[in-house]
Amino acid sequence: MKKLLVSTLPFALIAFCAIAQAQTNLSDTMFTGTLDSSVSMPDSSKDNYVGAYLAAVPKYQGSDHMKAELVLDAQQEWSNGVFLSVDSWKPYDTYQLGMHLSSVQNVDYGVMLGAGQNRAAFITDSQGNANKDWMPFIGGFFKYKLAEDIQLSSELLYTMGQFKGGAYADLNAIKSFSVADHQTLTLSVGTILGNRDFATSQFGISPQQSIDYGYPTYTPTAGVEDVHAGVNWHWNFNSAWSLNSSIYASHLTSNVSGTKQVQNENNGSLFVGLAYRF
Amino acid sequence: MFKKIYPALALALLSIFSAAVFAQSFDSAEFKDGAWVSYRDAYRKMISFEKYSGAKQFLQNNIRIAIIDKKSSLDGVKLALESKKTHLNLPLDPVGRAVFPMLKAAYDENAELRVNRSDNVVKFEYRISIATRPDGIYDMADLRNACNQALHYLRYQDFLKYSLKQCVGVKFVYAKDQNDVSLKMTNTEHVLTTLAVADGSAFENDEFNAFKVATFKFAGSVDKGQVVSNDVPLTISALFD
Repeated sequence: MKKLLVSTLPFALIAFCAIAQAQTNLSDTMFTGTLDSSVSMPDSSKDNYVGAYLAAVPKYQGSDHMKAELVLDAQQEWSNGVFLSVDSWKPYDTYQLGMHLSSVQNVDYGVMLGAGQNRAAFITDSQGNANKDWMPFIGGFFKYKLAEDIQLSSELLYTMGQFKGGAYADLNAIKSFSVADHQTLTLSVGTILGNRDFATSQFGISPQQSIDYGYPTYTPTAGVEDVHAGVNWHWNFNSAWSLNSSIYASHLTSNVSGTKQVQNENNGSLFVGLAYRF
Repeated sequence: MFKKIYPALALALLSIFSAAVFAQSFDSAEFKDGAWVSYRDAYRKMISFEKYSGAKQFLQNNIRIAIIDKKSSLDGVKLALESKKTHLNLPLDPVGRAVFPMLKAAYDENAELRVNRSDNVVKFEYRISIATRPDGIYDMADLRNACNQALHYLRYQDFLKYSLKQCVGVKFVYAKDQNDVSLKMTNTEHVLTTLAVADGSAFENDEFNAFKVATFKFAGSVDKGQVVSNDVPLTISALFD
């Protein structure tokens, strides 16, 4: 019981802290410094990461104001393929519970479910109250390792929630470089594709919201929502402790940027912090 | 309300983290400043060979300590598996390979593989080699088969790097001070041809010529005959082009 408490405590802490969520879609796979599939471990072993980062992030997607905040990342993976992940900075898939279904070296796919907190930061900032609820999702992921240091990664999620939810795909190409002993640079380039329901749930202004916030109504278009790129510098001090420093930039396309929410199509964020593997 | 406690919380967490980073040191002085890798990361690389379902009966998979400083040698180099509870010496063979121990305890303890030489002198590698035979007699068809098994496994690991490569031969590796090395091939007419022996490296992409090597190149598509070594080589490695 005590052991269970100790192993779930970081998650409880992070779930608590993540209530004040950041709004940037930086992938946590860049933070581990390896592109190897995590399914391969001894029976009934597990692998855990907890990271705390000081971050400068936009107040919400499209905001022209930045805020500094402590963001947290926790990942727990079991030998049977089940994983639990919390990334407090992610807007769509903050909390993930999933399972790897393949155990082959270069192909890694599986299913997951979870929840994100949608546009809560924007709605709060606009003095609105309605529709700040959680946005649950179900979906899957597929990752292919093209080379020892190159991975193609895709995530397809169907979200359920206010304004009919919607579906989106996050596609990324990730390349890592060994820059020095125990230091890895990881580059990631990608895009988020959303259907109309998803774009509407993230960027649309319904007639009701228009009355609530005083913004003109807006209906975004399906398609490419953003293009983004990130760089992470990962430095392992030993098998447990590592330092991560990241820069992430994203550009919201004209499919969604006509909304009053988007004052700035180009969003950036910075992360610096330590991660502990146990 | 939570926003106000963030800076204080961040400071507290960072100071705990940094204190712990410096507190976690190893007792074995010899390995203290040496090269290391995370056991979990190494385990993930090594287990992929166990899980690989393709043909692999001619192959062996090892973790290897490679010398990168030409002024240095493998003499006295030691590899150990270390964690808070464990210290296990892993013997190295003359080309620097060790049998990788698949240990759940080491994985759970987040152990490290450590060498008593620095990062400037040695590096960790994961190497596929072809198994040697005690009788020294190798069918040419088996050698080509072994090379292809190695190539297919490496393609499975890194498609981009190996997809266009072809097997061209195999390299028999002997100790540098071994003077009576003789590697002969017998063709269909039972004529013996002696293969040239020269200084060379144990593996591909390995610039350190610390060994005596003899290369057997595949000729055409027909393999009839045998390659006979008068001594058991330290290892046999596949050659690609």
